[in-house]
Amino acid sequence: MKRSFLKFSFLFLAAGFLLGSCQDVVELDLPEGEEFLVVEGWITNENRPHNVILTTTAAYFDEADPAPVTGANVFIRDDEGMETLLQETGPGIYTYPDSGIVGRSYQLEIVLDNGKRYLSTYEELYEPVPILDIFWQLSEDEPDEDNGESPDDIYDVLIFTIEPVGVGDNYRWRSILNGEEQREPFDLFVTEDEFVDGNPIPDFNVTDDLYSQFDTVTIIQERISREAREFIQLLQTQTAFVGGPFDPPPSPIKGNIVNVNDPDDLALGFFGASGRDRATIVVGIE
Amino acid sequence: MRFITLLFVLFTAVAMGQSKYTLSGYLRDTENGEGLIGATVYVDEIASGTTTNVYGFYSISLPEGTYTITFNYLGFEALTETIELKSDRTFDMEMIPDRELLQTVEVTAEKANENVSNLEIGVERMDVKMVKDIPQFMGEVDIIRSIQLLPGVSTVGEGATGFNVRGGNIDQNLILLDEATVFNSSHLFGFFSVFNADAVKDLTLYKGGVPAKYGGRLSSVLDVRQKEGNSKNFEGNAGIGLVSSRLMLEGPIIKDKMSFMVAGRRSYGDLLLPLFNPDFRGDQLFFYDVNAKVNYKIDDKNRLFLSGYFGADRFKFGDDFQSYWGNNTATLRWNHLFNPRLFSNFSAVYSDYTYSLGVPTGVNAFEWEAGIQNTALKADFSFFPNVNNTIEFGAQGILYDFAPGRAAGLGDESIFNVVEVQGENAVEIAAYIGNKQTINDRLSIEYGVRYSRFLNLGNRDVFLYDQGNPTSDEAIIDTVNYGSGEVIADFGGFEPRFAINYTFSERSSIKAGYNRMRQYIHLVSNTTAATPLDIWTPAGKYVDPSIADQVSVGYFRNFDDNMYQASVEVYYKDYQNLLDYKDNAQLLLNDNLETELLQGQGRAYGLEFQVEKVKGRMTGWISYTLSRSELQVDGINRNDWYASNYDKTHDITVVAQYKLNEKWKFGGNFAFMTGRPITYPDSRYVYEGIVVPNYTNRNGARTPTYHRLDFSATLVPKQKDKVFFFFNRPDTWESSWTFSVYNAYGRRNPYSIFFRQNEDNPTQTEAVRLSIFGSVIPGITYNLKF
Repeated sequence: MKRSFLKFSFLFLAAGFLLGSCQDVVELDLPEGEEFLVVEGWITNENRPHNVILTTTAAYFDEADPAPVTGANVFIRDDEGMETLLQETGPGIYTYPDSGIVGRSYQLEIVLDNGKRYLSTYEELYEPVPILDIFWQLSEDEPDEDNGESPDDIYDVLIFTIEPVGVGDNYRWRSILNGEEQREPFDLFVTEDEFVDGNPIPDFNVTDDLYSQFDTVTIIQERISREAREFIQLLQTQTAFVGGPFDPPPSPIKGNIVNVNDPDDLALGFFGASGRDRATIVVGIE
Repeated sequence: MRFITLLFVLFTAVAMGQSKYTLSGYLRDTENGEGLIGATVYVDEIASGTTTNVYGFYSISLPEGTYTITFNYLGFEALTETIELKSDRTFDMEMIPDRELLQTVEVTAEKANENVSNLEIGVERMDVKMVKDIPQFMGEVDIIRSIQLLPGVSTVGEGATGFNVRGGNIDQNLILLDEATVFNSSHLFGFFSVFNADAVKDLTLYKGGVPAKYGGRLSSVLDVRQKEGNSKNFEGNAGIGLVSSRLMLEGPIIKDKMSFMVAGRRSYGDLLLPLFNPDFRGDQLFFYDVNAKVNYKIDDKNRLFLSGYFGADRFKFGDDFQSYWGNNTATLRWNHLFNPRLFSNFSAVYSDYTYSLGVPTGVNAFEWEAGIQNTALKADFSFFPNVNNTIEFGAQGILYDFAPGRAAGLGDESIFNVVEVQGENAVEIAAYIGNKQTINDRLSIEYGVRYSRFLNLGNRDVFLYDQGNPTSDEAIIDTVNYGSGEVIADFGGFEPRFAINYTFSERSSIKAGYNRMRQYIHLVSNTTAATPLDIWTPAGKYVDPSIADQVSVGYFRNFDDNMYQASVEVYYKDYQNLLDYKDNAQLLLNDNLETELLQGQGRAYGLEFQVEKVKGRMTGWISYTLSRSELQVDGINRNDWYASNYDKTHDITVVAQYKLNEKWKFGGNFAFMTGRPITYPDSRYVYEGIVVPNYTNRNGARTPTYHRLDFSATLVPKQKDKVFFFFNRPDTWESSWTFSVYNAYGRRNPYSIFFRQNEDNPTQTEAVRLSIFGSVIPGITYNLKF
C-alpha cells in the first residue's frame, strides 16, 4: 500500500515530464561536517557467524571506501546474561561465531580505543515466519527493451506466506540473485502487518525485479523489530525517494546506538536481530 | 444573540440622535447588471463620501438639503446627480462603461487614488480582465499563478499546490469562493488552479490588515466572488486551449430580476495522450470544474443568491493506480436591507473536500479515502450611522467533520484488511465588530475585534500518554472515550484588528496595520510541496491552535495624475504553535498522529516595494520583495532556528501589458528570485552497501537563483473571421487568439537539488538538479465571446 503512495511522486514527475522536466548532475561545494561512528550488524537465527562492521563517516563526495574502525572491543550480550567478545577478523570487521537464538534479545556494546563507549538497544530475535512456497511466472510488466530485456524472458519471482494473527509484526525481505545480494536503495523492502494482519498473502512480489531464465533467486523473509523496520524505511526514504515535490525533507537517520556518556553523540547505523526464513528457485525450470 | 440586540438598540439610538436622512442604493454595470464593487459615491458639499460594498450597495446619511453627488468607477463614465434629500431616499444607478477611454487605453484600478485614501494595507485586488492579459502557463488562465506575481506572494516551486503569503505556509490562506472555503485550490497537483477565470468577477487578497469579519487562518484571505450572471442579455464565452476547453453562459431568467451564470471546464489529457502513446488508452487523466450561480431580486430590500462549485481531478492508470480529489461548495445568501442604514447578509455555506487513492484490481487492490467537510452559518451586518462611520458586525458558526482516512481492500482477491482512523468533529464560532471611522480630512482609522472559539468534540476515543506527553506509541497508558458532543478540547480568544491612514495629500499617505489571527485547523504535510492527499487535522487535546500577530507600515504615493501608484510596505509577523514533524513522521493512516507532530515558533518579516502603472497603452507593475521566514521547533535542527521551505530573500517581478492597437495586445512577465532553502549533506556513510548522505543542518543551503520570462500576444481579428473555420460569426460575436510562451529562454530552474549514488558506479555520489520545466512551454488559446 505504501508503494502506491510513493507512486504519487512518480505521477507528478510524469506530469512534469510531459512538460520537459529534467535532471542534471551538477557540481557543488559541500561543507564537511563532524565525523561519526557507523555501525552495521545483524544477528539472525541462521547457522553461521555474524559480522559487525565499524566504519566512520566521510566527506560526501569522497569516493574511497569508508575508513574502518579498528582496535575496538565489541561485545554482544543477550538478555540471559551471555556475553561474547567479538574477534576482529578483518579491518573494522568483528565476528560473532554463533547463530542467534529465537526468543532472546541482543545488545551490542562497542568500546573504541579512545575510550568512548557505545550501547545499542536490546533487539529481540523473533520467531521466523516461513515462506510456504516460491515460484516464478512470466511478468506482465513492460520489458525494458533498451537494456536488452525481451518480453518472453522477463519473470517475476513470487512467494506465498501466511501472516500470523496479531497486529504488530514487522518484516523485511532481501533477494539474492545468482549469489549476489541486491543492495541498492530501491531493493530495500520492509513493511508492517497493519493492513494484512492474519491474512494469507498469495502471489507476493517482494523484489520488483525482473528475472531471466536460469537465474537463481533466493528470497529471505525476515521478521524484525519495529525500530529496525523504521530504520530501514527511513534509509530507503532518504536514499531512494529524494528531491521530488512529494518527498519528505532530508533528515538525519536515527539508529539505535548511542554513546553512554554523551546522549548527543549518536552512532549512525543500526544493530538488529532478525528471524529469517529463506527459499531458493531457479527461474524457468519446472 | 443578546449582544446583537444590544448593538441594534445602540445603533438606533445613534441614528435617532440626529435629524439626518439616508441616501442608499445599488450601483450596477448597465451592460450586464453586475453590482460594482468599491465604486465611490462622493458628496461635493461635505467633501466626503463612501464606497459600495461587495454587493454594489452604498448608504450615506446626510442632514436635510440638496447635494451634488458624483458616482465614480474607473473605466466607467462618471455621473453627477443633484439630489434633494428631505427624507430617506433610494437611488440606484446604472453606470455606463467608458468605451472611448477603454478603446485606446487599459485601466486596471477602481478609482484614481483609492489606493492612497483607503484604509487598506497589504490588500491586493486583481481585475479578472487583467489576469486574462497576463502571459499564462500553457495558455490556461490561472488566478493562483497570477497572484504569485504580486509582492509578498510566492510558491515553493513550479507545479506546487497553493501559494505562500509573507512567509506563511499554504494552509494559512483562507481561500473563499462565494464565502465557501476551498480546501485545495489546485488541479493536477498545482500545475493549474480550481478557479475558472470566466466565472470569476472579483478577487481580493488580504496579506495583512485583515478586517475583523475574516478569521480562521494566519496569513491571508483570498476572497473570490463569482459573477452574478448578466441580468440584461444572454451572453456566453467559450474557449479552447491546449489543456482544457471552457464554456460559460449567463443571462436573465426574468429580466432585471433573476439571472444565472453557469460555467464548465474540462481538461483533456486523457483524450490526447492515447494519440501519442496507445498504452494510455482507457486511462483517466483529467480535471473538470463547474461553477453555477443564480440570483433573484425579490424586491428592493431582499435578494437571494445561490451558488456552487464542483470540481475534481481523476487519474487512473490501468490496473495499477487510481486517484481522485475534488472540492464541492454550495452557498445560499440572502441580502436584506433592514433599513437604508442597515445592510445585512445571511449565508448558509457547505463545503467539502474528498480524496482517494488506490489500486483498482488484483491482490493488491485497495482504496484509501479521506476528507473534510464544513457547514457554516453566517450573519454579516453593515451599519452606516453617518458619513464618518461604517460599522460592520456579525457572527458565524462552522461545523467541521474530519475524516482522516480509511483504507480497505477491494474485491475478494485483495489481501488488505480495513483500517480506519477515527474521525473528528469540531465547532468554530466567531463574532466580530469593527468600525471604519473618518476622523478628519487627513486621518481615518479602522478598529475592530473578533472573538473566536473552537471546540473539539466527541464522539471519539482519545489516547492518554505517560505524563501527558504524546512522545510515542509506547507512551500510551490509557484510552478515554468522549461521548457525542462532549468537549475534548476548548480554545478561544480575541483577535484585535487595527488600521490607520494618515493622508498627506491627495497623492500620498502613510498607513499602518495590526492584526492577530487564530488558526484552529492544520494541513498535515511533511513534503516540500503539499500533496492533494494531505489530511487536515483540528486543534485538539494534543495539538494547539496557531496564533499570528502581524504589524505592517506602508507609504503610498501616486504620481502623474494617479497614473503611477507606488507603495512601500514593511511587515513583521510573529507565530506561535506552528506545526512541524518529527523526522520520518508517518502521517497517513495514523491513529495517534499527535506522536508525530511538533509545535514551535516562527517569525517572518520583510519589505515590499511596488510601482504600478494603471492607465495608458502600457500597464503593469514592478515589484521587489525582501523577506525572511524562519521556524524554531524543539526536536528539529538541534533546536536552532531554520529557514522555512518558502523563505525567499529577494523576489523581483515585472508584469507588463501593452496595447498596440485594437487588434494586438502583448504581455510579458519576468520573475527573478533567490532559490528556496534545501538541505545539503555534510558527510556520507555506507550501510549494507548503500551510500547514505548524512544531514545535520535543516534548510542550510539554497537552490540556485530562479528566473523566468514569459510572453503573450492576443489577437482580436478585426475582420469577420470564421469560427472554427466553419461558419461566419455574427457581428456581435468577438473572437480572439492568445499565444503564449512560458519560460521563454528555456531556463532549467532548479526545483530541488538531491543526492544519490551514481547508477554505474555505486561508490561514487553525485548531486542532481531537478527542474520541473526544462524547456520553453508554448500555449495557444482561442476565445469566443457571444
